Amino acid sequence: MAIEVTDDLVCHIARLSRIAISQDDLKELVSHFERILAFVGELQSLDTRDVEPSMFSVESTNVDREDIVCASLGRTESLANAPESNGTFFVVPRIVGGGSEAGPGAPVQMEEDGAEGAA
Amino acid sequence: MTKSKSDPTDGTPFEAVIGLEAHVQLKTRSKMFCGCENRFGAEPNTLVCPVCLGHPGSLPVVNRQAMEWAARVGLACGCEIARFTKFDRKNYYYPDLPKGYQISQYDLPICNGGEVEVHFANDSGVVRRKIGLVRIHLEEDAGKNIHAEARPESWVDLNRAGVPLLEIVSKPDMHTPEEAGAYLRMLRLIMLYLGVSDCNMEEGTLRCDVNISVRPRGSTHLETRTEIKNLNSFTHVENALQHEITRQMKIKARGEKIVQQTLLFDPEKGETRVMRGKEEAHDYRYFPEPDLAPWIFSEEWIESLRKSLPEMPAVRLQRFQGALGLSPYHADVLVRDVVMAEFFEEALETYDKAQSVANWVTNVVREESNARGISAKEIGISPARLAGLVRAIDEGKVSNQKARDVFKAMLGNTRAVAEVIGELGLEQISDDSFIRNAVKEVIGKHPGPVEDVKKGKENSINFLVGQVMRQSKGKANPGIVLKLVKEELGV
Repeated sequence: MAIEVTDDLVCHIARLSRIAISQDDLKELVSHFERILAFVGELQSLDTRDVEPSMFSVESTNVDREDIVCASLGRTESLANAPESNGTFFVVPRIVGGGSEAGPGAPVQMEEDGAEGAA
Repeated sequence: MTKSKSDPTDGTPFEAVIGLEAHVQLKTRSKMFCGCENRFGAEPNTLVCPVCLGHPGSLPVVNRQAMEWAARVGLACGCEIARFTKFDRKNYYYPDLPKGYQISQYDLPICNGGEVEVHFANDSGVVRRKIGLVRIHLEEDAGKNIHAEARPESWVDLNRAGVPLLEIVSKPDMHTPEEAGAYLRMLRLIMLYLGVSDCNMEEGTLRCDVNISVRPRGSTHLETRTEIKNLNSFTHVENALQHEITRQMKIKARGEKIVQQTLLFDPEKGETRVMRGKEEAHDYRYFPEPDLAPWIFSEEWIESLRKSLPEMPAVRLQRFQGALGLSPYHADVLVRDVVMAEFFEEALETYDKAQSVANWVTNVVREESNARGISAKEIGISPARLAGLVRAIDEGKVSNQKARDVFKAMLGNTRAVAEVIGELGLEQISDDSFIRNAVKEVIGKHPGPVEDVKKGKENSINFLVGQVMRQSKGKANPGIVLKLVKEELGV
């Protein structure tokens, strides 16, 4: 089934990805999306009735490790690649609402939309 | 037993429907997908590496212990353990999630189904209920955000990012705040028995989201629900539910509709408020995690895990009440404290009068450990020596009252019970002729009360017994004193 790529769909994906896009970007992205989907859509022409769904590209399972502690990075090194830090923490635009206790699955809540430019 | 909370739907035409999502941090030594130490309270951003920081090119590797523990929890809850399971990416952007996705499980969780047996006391006695589970899956925890004071910024500590987290999803099987509280307490106990998590709500190793709807009593239809996120104490769970159930009933009573939304509970004000957030934020675009191979649990592996399960709380409770004949109260108190229950069972190896030992363990031992904020095993008296003391009481060698002094004197050393009793001069006197003499003396000194007793005033017997006890400096066996006072007075 074909997905209709609309301005709204692209804006929705941009918001989920926290990427600010302009009107000009939007036009270009709509056409990109369409081309990518058309390309991948060619797969739809294949008959996959008797093919098992694939979950992983190699045939290995249970790739694991023992529960052993290894050395972590030092703090200087761990913060080194951050756009902004204060020497102890990573610094990000102020988060409102949920906050530190939000944990996994919390809705995205930043004070301003498109705030990623601030970092 | 948990203290009874009032049910806000009592006396109304409504019934609440409650489901819980609990997040339990596993206490593995290292994180879920990397070798960073899993430890609470370390200096911020010191337990991190390229994997849990989400650096490009780094690859996760599954911690086998976490997989085993997840299956172990599932087996303890009677879940079906998936023979084939895999991880998926749950995509959302948040500052505490360095990769922009959380490694979680979507359609093939480790555990399916299962149930948790809970018990709690209410007005109609002890209620036992089975709460169904939908699933249990394994995922990674996010980091922690801290809000800077007086600065337009937030700070992120990623020590917690990548810590193994079990998500346990119940069926909407609960109907009152107290049931939800009892369920969560039992989940915690199961984790403690299995030794897979500390479930310390203050440290956030147990967290909880609740789903609530309200429907006309007798209906089986599931109505529009709200979700309250991040409740981090048992009391908050119960209070938030009370508040939300009441709020929804008021709305329904006015004939209005409930709006599906995510709420936060403010424990200070005791009320919920709407969490700002767009609906589209729930579009997680799950897909299979391409960096992790699928996982297969063999039959043999599952069987060996099943065999290694310890006795679980619900079974232990039955055994304590049934085979050991403990009162429901004492059985419950012991079962809720893993260390105290072990202490109790070890004491029974020395002296097998279970109820006598249970009385002492749940009163004196518990008081001592609570007062000093340490476990029963750390208070400085071995289970065997405590058992010896209880035996001495039962055999009338020391009174129950004076035994507390003996107990205190036995802490922090290895001296035998008899020796301590002797040294403190607290041997109970059970010698009939000695006590009878004291009784006669007291009767002679107090003609007034003696007359009262003969007229039928029961209280005066206690007065006379008290006098004999006083005269013997508390050493006389009170049971024998009472018996002899009655004999001498012919009542």
